[in-house]
Amino acid sequence: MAENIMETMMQESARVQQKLLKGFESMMQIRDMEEGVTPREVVYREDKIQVFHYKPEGEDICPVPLLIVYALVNRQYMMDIQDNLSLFRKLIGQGLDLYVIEWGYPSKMDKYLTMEDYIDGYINNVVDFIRESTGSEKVNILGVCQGGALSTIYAALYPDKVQNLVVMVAPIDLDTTDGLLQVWAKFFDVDLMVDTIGNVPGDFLNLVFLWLKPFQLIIDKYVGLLDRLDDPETVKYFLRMEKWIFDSPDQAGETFRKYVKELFQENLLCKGEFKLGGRTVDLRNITMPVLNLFGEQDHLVPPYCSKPLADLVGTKDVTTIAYPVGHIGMYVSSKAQKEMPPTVANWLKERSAPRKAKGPGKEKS
Amino acid sequence: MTGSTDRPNEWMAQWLKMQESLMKEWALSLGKMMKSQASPQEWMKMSMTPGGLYEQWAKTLADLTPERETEGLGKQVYNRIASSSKVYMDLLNFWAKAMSTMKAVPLDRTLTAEEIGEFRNQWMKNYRRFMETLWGSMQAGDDESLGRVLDGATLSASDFTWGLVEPIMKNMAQMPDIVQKISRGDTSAVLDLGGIFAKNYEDTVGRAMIAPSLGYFNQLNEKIGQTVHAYARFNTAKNAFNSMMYGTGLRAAEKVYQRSSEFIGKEPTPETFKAFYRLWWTVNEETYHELLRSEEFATMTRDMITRGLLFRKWVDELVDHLLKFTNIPGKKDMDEIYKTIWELRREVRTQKRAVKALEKQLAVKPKRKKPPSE
Repeated sequence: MAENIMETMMQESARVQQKLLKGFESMMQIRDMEEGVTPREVVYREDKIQVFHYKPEGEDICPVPLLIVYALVNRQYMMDIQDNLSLFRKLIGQGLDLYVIEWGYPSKMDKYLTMEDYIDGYINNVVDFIRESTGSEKVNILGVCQGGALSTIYAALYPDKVQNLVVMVAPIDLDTTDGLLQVWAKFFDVDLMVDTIGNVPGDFLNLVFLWLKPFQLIIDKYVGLLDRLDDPETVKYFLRMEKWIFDSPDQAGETFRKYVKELFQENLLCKGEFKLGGRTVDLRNITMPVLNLFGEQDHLVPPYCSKPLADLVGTKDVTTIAYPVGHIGMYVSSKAQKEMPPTVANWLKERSAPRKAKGPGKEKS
Repeated sequence: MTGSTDRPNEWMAQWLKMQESLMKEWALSLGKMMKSQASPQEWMKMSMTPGGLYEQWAKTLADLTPERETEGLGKQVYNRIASSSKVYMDLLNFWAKAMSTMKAVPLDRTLTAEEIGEFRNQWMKNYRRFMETLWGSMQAGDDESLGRVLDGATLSASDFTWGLVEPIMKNMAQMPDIVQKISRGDTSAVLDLGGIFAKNYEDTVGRAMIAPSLGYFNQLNEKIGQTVHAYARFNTAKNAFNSMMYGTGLRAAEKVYQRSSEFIGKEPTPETFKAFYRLWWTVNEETYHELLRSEEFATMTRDMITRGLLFRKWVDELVDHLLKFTNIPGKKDMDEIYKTIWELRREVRTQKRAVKALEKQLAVKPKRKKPPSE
């Protein structure tokens, strides 16, 4: 028995070392990975944000442009992570004229940026820019994760500018103890943090996300990769994901304060008491069609947070689709990659009236 | 337990042969000589555990490649893989010890209560040793991140604080007992230590720290005192937090122990170890998840972060006060500037919208004046 144990130890040690050696040489040479793979054009800039335009492909072009509003917490290129796993590429392949906001990295100078600045300022300006440059009276909006909440608020405040609202893994009803984030947020002294350090560091948020599944995310994920370290494609994909996971911009302090206090802790949006720029945000003003997509196994935004949107909006044209995947799976799982783009495109095309033809948009600074 | 501490023997010779082959392979792949490769004699002196050998191997690898290692994504991720592999190897070491202990379990009769107790004690003792390596690595990561959050904190204040309270610590009657407990592996005793530290600190130095001082430098002295006081309180909260995390690790250990009977009588193959590894991390994940959902965790985390932030706040106050004597702007000055810039940006945005609206009106009006029929 003792000999067997030693033999096993040696075998297993050798295996680990062998694998690490194989990965060492190739990984050390990789300094960085690209942020998105689909060709795009910067068409709008304001402060630190910029808007990318992805031209539609095919003949059946959706007449209303689609704006993707991603979360402030991570970067939008998760939806364009590599050639065979790009929702952006698949959406334009379905004939969607795609615009995507890239929020940039708030610096200390941006600590006073408020949610009004993001919604009434940036999002509204981008929507107006797209309307003007495409000649379309309205735009379709797809809000992702935290961006889903921002888009929902925008649609309630500016229903005349939104043709259809699509939300993906959007945290809407946060009066729940289903998810750890929702539990922890209730205990979090956000005032003290913002008053003391201004912007909330992305590193801090990353740490919080890692603690949702510590052993899986800190240990097993990497141990599991050992067996595939000699496969260059696997390693590249893993590196892209790692880059994205830890590429977390700091959060503008005042925006984060309002987001945590009024949405997470007090759930004011669902109660119909959330105020922005002196106006009460009434979700019943969302009279345009709504498509609500979420992951059944999402541990960051549990289904309970996303589902209730249908009961809160003022339209009866609500389509709710649950995918049997987790939060990240909504972007990169084969099921979501295969089914979501045609579903979104067809749903939008059925609800998008033709728009006036006009030339492509030009960059605006 | 046998084998892992016996030197040199047959498996050790095999090990060395394997290491040599691995290092040669690596050297060939780099196309360079292995100048600092450890000699067989040096290998003999090393810690004869997979974790120890792995550590030495990783160190040798790093020594050989400083000029090739470039900062970047690949290196960052590789380091994460390597540190997780270290945990994996440490677990392998523990598993080997546990399997050796299991070897002694007779399968043909029921164990006596004493034998079960002895077996369990041995198992837990080994597990605690393993846990220290694991807990150390995870804690270091957390501290680093937390440190970044509290960025700007003068961590050297730790030495200063310790210097102030060390005499009290040395004289405390409870200390020997607590230290003994800690040395036996009962890390929950750290919490007691923290409690005694906090109490004595509050009763003695703490009071002095926050007491108003007199004289020309009274404001400065008060801020220094408040900063050190805040740091001491942050450390107390951090110790309590760490103790809670460690205690949960011990609860997970009990669960892993209960389940480890599944491995009695099984051949110690790599597959068996992998099954054990899966059992280990999933049981830990579940156990920690229970803690993470609890009010206790949320409260203690809030406490630690709050005290950390208060410490940071006092550091800022202190730095601002010192900067008053210079021409360098402090945090409050910069905040004023940031706020002004933000207000101006808002104003510009509003004005731009107003101009745009006017332009639209001007562009549209002539068209409206013209009747469609003309």
